[in-house]
Amino acid sequence: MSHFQGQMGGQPQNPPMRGAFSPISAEQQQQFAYNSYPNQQPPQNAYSQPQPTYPQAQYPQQQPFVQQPVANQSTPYGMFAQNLQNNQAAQIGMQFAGNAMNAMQENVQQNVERYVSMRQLKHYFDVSNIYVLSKLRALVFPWMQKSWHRYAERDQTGQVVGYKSPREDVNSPDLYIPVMGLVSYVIAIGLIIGRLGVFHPEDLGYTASSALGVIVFEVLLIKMFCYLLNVGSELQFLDIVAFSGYKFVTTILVVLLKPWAPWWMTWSAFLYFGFALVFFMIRSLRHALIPESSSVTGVNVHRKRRIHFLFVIAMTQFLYIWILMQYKSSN
Amino acid sequence: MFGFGTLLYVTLLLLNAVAILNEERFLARIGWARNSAELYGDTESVKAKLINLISAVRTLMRIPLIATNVVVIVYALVLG
Repeated sequence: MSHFQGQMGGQPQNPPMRGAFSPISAEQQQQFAYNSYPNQQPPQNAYSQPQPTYPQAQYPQQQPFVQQPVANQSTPYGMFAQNLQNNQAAQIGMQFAGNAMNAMQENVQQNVERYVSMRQLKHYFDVSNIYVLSKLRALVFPWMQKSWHRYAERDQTGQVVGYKSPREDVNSPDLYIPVMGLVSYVIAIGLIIGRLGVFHPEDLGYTASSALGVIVFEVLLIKMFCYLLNVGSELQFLDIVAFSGYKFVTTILVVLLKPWAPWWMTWSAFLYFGFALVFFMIRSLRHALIPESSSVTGVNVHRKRRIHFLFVIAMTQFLYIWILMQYKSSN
Repeated sequence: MFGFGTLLYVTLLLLNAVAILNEERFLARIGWARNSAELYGDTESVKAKLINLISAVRTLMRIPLIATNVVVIVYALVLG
């Protein structure tokens, strides 16, 4: 059986990737999984395993059973694969399905593009390891951060187009840490409830819904105040979402202490990390909300109101962290 | 307790509350009418923007609010 093993090496042949969102249909999966074994007998070895009933399970895993090919007479799938390769009409049908899939994917892309700008989203996910570590350090120990200035991106003529991406600028907000923070927060709450012995699977859903509710509420509140105070393009919508999501980092640290540390330790950690987050938010949002007096001409700025607004945003972080710290404890 | 569904209910109730404010009986009495003279020059103060926001909610959201309220009422009746 040397020819048999040299051909494959124990790995399933991967179908060509057509983009992240196109699911492979069942027939194509089977065709590519069985493609290298067109006409072979099943090896009579000790590793025989029954064929899976649903072909979708084969694709991402490299299981040993794929080494045994689907032979013509052993299972109905074998004959199906045979017919696929020999049948012209089936080949044409599959090409048509592939084209249809591509067209659908482009259609979806265009529709999504109208609501959420993918290019802008990619800008927020363009992070590097150093950025993530620096940002986490700035969230937990904000006094160590030297400069909070955000660098502006300029195009060829020198005009200011936007801000630099997170990869180049440590102070630029990103969406990677908030998303990861949300997921980690849900998992951390699940862990705590599990250790306390009262875990039900739907609690994960409740926690995720609660966390999303807090974020949506905060973003809506900030957006409304931004409208009322004429804060225009200095503070983008996704920036607000990003800054709102940074609180998960500190919340996780506090909520992991809560079941197992004495109450004074938990509350002092709450106060410390709360003030750290407040400091972080104030320093980060100061440049966006409160322009330096030299750059403002003819626009009614209400400087004092904006300072109050910034302070209110920062102080309500305490409230949100407290809300996020509540979980169902054992009764 | 602070889930997403609760948030949706709360925003629906608040929008209802804003939508049923009567223009002439209430808002004019407290000086928040839409067409009063003081607003013509100054469109950027907080009060002017608030008045614009309230009137926009009342104009735009009446019909979708009716539909959403009916859906939520049916949902609450059927599913408890």
